[in-house]
Amino acid sequence: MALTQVLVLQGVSPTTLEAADSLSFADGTFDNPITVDAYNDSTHIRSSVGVDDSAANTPVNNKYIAAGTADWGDGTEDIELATDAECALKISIGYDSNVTVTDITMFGYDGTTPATAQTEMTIQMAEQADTEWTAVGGSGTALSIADSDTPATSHDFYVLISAAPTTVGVKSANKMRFAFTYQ
Amino acid sequence: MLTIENTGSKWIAGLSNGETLVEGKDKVAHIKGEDSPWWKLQKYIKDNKLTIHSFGIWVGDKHFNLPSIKPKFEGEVPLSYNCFRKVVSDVFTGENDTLKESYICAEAIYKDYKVQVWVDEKDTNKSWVNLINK
Repeated sequence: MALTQVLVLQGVSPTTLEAADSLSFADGTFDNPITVDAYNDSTHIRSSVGVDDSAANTPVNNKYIAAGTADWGDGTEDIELATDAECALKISIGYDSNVTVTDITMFGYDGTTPATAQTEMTIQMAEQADTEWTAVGGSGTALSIADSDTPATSHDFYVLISAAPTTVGVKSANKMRFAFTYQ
Repeated sequence: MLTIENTGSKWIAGLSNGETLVEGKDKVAHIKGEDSPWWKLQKYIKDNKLTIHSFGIWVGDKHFNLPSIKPKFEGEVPLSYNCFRKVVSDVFTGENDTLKESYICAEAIYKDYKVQVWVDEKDTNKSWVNLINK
């Protein structure tokens, strides 16, 4: 019996995040830097050897505009209007028997201490249908994702994510933590 | 994709009719496509108007027992019990496999608080007890 957790960058075709891959934000072109205090114009899956694994998949990009608005390619809209398919991230939890998945949280941290916010970047996240972004930063400021409390073998969660550097430079020391309970 | 295998930890429930049910066995067997053993237990005790009299976690020969309705050390009797597993991982940062934690938690639930016993499923020599205000 095994539990599986699959992370996907959605797009015309999905790109599954493999163990050594990372999520990469850019200015619209893979590996191009984002201006300080501006938000991402593109989201990519970066392989361990620096290749854009999502290049052929037209990935979804969620850009933070203001507390309750985002741009996912159609101009500025209220974030609660984003459909499942318009969320950049799809997270699937699978189990071979019917379980519930609850107490789901995601947050960025400095890569060392979960309670400490990521450094030199702002990360905004929202679950599909949320009316406002959550500026995540350390375990005390996490995105809380609604419980999936009907027992099933598969549970899907859709999340918007956007990021802005607050200083010049690569921010790869930071990490993102995901936690949940099941029974 | 992150995969977490079941490491062999099990909950064990002593019921008001004298039965003892062990996660994954008999009435609470782990069968693909059916409800998990936990939800089978919930249905069984509801359908048969039973209550749980004792509850704990077994990992091989190690037993982590919560207070029962007749607590061995004269502790307070719980109102009910709960059990779940928690998974924690680092994601999106190229290091999915460097942090992958899994715990089993059994709870004794009282009016105003819960007593939790946590066992690390990757290193079952590690366990923790928490007291949580409800």
